[in-house]
Amino acid sequence: MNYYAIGIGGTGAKCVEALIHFSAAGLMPEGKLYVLFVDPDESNGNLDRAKITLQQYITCKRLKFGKTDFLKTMIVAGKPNVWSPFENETQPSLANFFRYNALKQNNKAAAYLFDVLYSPSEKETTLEKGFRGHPSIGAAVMAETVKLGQGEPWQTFRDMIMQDIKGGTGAKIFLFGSIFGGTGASGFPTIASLIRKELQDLQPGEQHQLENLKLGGALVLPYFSFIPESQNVEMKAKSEDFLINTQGGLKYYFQKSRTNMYDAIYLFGDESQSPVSTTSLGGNTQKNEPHFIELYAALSALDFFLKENLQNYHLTARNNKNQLDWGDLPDAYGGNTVKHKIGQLTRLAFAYLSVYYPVLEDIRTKGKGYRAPWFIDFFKRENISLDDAATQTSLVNVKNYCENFLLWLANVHTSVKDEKINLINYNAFAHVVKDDGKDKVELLPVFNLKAFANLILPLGEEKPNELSRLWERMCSARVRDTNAVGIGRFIHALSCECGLIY
Amino acid sequence: MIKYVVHFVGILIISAGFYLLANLVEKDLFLERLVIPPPGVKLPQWLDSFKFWANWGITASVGAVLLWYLIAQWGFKVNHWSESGKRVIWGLFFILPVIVIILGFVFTQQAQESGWLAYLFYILNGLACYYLATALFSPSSFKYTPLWAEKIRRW
Repeated sequence: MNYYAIGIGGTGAKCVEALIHFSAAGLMPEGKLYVLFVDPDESNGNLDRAKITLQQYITCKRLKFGKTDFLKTMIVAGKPNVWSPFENETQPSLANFFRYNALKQNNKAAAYLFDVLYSPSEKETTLEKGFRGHPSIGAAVMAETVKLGQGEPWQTFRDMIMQDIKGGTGAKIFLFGSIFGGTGASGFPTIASLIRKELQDLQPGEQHQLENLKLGGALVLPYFSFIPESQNVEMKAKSEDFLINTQGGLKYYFQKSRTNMYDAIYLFGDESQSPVSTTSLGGNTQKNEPHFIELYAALSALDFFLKENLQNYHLTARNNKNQLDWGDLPDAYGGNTVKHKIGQLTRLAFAYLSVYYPVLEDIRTKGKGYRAPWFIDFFKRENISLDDAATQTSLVNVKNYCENFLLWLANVHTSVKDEKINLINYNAFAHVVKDDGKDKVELLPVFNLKAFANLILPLGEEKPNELSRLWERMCSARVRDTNAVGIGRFIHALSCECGLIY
Repeated sequence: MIKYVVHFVGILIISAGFYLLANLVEKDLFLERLVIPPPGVKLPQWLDSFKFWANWGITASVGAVLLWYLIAQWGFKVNHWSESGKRVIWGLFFILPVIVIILGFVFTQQAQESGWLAYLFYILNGLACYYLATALFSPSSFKYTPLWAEKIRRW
C-alpha cells in the first residue's frame, strides 16, 4: 500500500508536519508516503516550517539506515511540493482570476451573478497571501484550477495513484485542512471531490480496481484564536468568525452529504482556543507554533492508513479537558506503540544532540577517537572520515532534524496556556524565553542529562545514569543489517538502543 | 551479566597464562639452565626468589586489572561525553605492578650470569599481563582506552 498526504492551507501544512515527525518515529505502515501541500500563499510561515521539516527528512533519509524505526518511511515530495492555484498569476485577485472586467462586457448576466456572490472587497483584494478566511473565494478558485490530469504536481500524483490501484498495491489518500479558515475550508471538499471524480473515470472493466483506493481526511475545527486588533482595515481571517464559519461548514457537509466522498473523516477541535499573537494576513509572518491538535490529526492519518475497515466518522475525547496524557491519544496500533516510538525518537534526538554529535565534533578537532569506542567501530573502521565534507553534511543534517523535532515537541507542550500536556518532559531540553515581548521556545544550550531516563511522562524512577548505560551499549552495539551503511549504521545502532529504554 | 562473566574469565585466562609462563617456561626452561647464581647462593634458592617476585608481580598486575575494571565499569559514568577516555587513569594503574617489579629488582640477588633475564621477565610479566588483560577485556565504554587496543580488540 502507498500513502498520499495532502496538507491544504496553513493548518493542513502543520498537520502534515506532525505526520512527517510520526514517520520519522517509524509509526507509518510499510509503503511510500507522497506529500503535497496546497496553498496559494507559498511564503506562509506555517507552510515554510512544514517544507523545511519535509526537506530535512528527505535529506536525512538519503543515509542508508537499513531496517530501523528512525525515518523508516520513504517520503516522496511532490514536484513542486507546494501547489498554488495562482502559480501563473502575478497579482491574483478574484476579479482578475475570473476576468471580471471582460465578463462585464461579454456576459453581463454572469457578471451580475458574480456581483451577487462576492462583495467588492472580495473581488478586488489580492490573494497572494491566501483566501483570507473566505472559503467562498477559495472554493471557486480551487474548482477552476485543480486539474488532476494536467500540470504538475497533479499529473504525477494522478499517475502514481493509478499505478498503485491498477498494480494492486493500493493507495490511501489523506487530506488535512481546517474548516474555519480560507484555503483549507475551500480545498478540503473541492480537492476530494475532484480526486474522486477523476479517479472514477476508469475503463468499465477496471472499475473494480477502485476498491484499492481509499480517501480519508482530517477536518480541523477551531483550536486557536487571534488576539483582536484595535484597527481592522484589511480583509483577512478573523477568529471571531471561526465558529460561524465552522457552523456553516458543518451544515454544508451535512446537508450536501459532502462527506460521502470520503471513506473516513476525522474531526478535531479544542474548546479553549489558544490565543495566537500573530494576526498576520499571511506570508512568512503567518507562523503559528505547533499545537497538540495537530498530533491528533496526524494520528487520525495513521488510523486511516492502518485500518482495513474504516468507519465513516471518528470521535475521540480526552479524559480531562484541561489535560492531555498518553492515554488520551488514540493508538491505531493498540497498546503503547505511539508512546514508545515517539519516546524512542525523543531519546535519539536528545542523545544525538547532547552527547553523540558534540563528541564527534570534538574528535574531529582534537582527535583521540579512543574516547568513544563506538566512533572506532562505526566510523574509523568503516573508513568514514569526520573531515570529509559529505560526512560533515550528513551529521549536520541529522542534527538539524533532531533540533527541529525537539523544538516541535516542546512547542506542542507550550501551545496551550490553560491546559497541561503530559507527554514529554520538554523542560529537559527546552525552555520558554521572551522574544520581543512574545513567548518563544528555544532549545537549552545544555540539556539536563540526568533527565534522559525520564523524558517520557509520567515521571518514573530516577535513573541519572541512563545516558551512561546507553553509551556502554553503543560501545558494544552490532548492526547486522547489511543495508545499513556508513553513518546510517551508526544512527541505526543509536535508534535501536534508544528503543530498548523504557 | 554474561558480558561481565566473559570479561572476568578472559582476565582469569590471561593471568593464569602468565603464572604458567613464569613458573614453567621462564623459570624451568630458561633461568634454570642459563643462570649462575651469586656466590654462596644455591640455584634452587635463587629460583625460589625469582618465583616469589615474579608471582607477586603478576598478582599485582591482576589486582590492577581488576581495580581498573571495577572502577571503569561501575565507578565512571559517561553521562557527559567529556567523562569518556580516562587513559591517564588507566596508565596510573601500571604503578601497582611497577612497584612490585622494583621490589623484585631490589630483593633478587644479582646472579653471576644471565641474571638480567630475571629482570626482563619481571618487567614482561608485570606489565604485559596488565596491558593484555586491559586491552582485551576492559569494560565496553573504555575498551579502546588502553594504548593500541583498537588494533587488537575486535569485540
